[in-house]
Amino acid sequence: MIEVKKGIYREDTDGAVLTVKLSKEFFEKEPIMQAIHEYTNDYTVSMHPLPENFVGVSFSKKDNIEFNEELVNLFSNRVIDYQIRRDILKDSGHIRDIIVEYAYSPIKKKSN
Amino acid sequence: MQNKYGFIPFQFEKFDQDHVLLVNLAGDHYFLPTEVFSLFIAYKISTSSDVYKTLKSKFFTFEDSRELEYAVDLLANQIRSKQRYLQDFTSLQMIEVTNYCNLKCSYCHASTVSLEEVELKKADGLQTDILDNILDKIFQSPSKDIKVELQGGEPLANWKSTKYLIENAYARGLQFSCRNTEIILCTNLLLINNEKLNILKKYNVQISTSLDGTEELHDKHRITSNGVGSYKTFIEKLYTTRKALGDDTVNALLTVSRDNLFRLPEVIDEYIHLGFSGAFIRALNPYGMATKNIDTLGYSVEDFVSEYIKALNYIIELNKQGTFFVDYYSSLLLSRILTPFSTGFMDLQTPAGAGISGAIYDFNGDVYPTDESRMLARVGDTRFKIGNVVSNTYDEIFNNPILKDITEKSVLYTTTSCSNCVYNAYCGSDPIRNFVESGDIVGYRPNSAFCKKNKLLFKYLLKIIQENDNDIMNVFWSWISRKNIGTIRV
Repeated sequence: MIEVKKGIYREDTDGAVLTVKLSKEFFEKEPIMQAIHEYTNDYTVSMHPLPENFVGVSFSKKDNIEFNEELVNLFSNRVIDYQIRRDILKDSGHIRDIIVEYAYSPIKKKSN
Repeated sequence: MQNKYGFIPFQFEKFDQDHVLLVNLAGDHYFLPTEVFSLFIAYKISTSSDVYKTLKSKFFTFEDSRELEYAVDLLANQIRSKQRYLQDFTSLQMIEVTNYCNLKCSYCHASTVSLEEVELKKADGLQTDILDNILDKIFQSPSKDIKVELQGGEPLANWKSTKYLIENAYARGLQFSCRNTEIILCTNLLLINNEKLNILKKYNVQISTSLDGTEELHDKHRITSNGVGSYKTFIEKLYTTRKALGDDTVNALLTVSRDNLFRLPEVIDEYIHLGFSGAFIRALNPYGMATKNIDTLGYSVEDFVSEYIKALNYIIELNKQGTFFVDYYSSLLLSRILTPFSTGFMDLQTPAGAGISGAIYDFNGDVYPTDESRMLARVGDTRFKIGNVVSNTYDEIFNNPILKDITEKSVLYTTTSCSNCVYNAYCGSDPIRNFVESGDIVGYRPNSAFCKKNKLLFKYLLKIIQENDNDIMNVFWSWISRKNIGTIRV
């Protein structure tokens, strides 16, 4: 098993299935699922719990699509991106809600 | 320990090797060096640094409640400006006057019926009760700007109805002094004559026509049912029309097939040669004959974008050398990236412009939220019909649950993939196209051609903006402001 990025490991592939292990210490369920969604056109992707606070993501080939050499790196980057977005939103999500509510409210609301 | 600054919501994506692109809720963007981005999101940038000050000035961050209140106020107002089209409910009112056409284009999206296949008199029928009801509904729209777009088929194939609609739309427009009423005729021009031109001139009708390039390229697809090319007659009628109505009353739409895709500079030259000041380079859409003939007409998204970019660069160079010529689609995307204003293009709104920016009335009185949903109905799928002008009231039509469903499911900020896309402040949803491509109006982005095309184009335009070449930026601003580059050059 090779550590690709901090908290992300690539398991040896048997040729048909490629599995990535992600540490729950760094990654939540939603960012992982959002990244998975981007790969569902080319691969059958499943997510499953693993021992020791890990979650596994397995990619199976669809039709004759080969595993992209960069698949694990690209997928890892996407998970990290989505986790960062989620972290930022934890700090700023309430601000977004205020802005959107104000933007779509009748103009007179401000003077009330 | 409390962080020294807070984040105002933004989207981001690694843009190139050295930069991360940040876009805030109102669409203001900033290219942040990658290493600075890492420090920024870890709350480690010095608040006295220049880069931090820029981030603050563009409303990506704040330090205290006063700054936050100011940012909320400003961003909300910018969003409101960009969403202005919601208050123009419903500005673009399209009427399919007839589904008969005197041409038989191999890519026809509208699934028209060839005139030669039917009795001519059928095509020229006039049902004033339906047309009056259509106009009743159109002028119940609360929008201050009403664009009545007459299309088909070929509207001139049913001149009685076209003339009736022009005269009566104009008259109704005069009843509302606070309203701007504009009438646009979408026509291939072939049936135009002096009698018709007199009417068009009298009522100040604008013309939207089609041109695919040189004679050879135009006549590959824009042919009669006998296979005869239409270019020569088109040119003759174009000059007659311009002479009668004025040079600036005729615009043209370019449909890109496999035949002209790889020859776009040649097509642009033809547009300029014929006196057009811009082109809307339209990719084939998955409707009507374009779907049936996709094997001979089609191309990949990658090929389209690659050739489009070459054409865009060609057009930019022409402008730099003094020829004012607008690429209308790029101009639209640039307006979204560089200005806080609303753009009226209904295929790229969130929520979708379907029924909100525009609606289409079929010649039988049926109402659809988009031209494309009416195209689907033409091939037997009427699931998006929202009413009929005779049997339904305005409220019943525009409060239709189908339209509400489309609107609710076409908000990018709540759509999988789009909600986290860095381009979502500039982009929009095309629910009917989503349905055609994926069987679902929400759509499936991982294989969406619409999504892939727009992402590639946004990225390319932002790359040019990042390079900030003065001459090119002058061209872009001349397109946005529709002014010759000489008048805006800095």
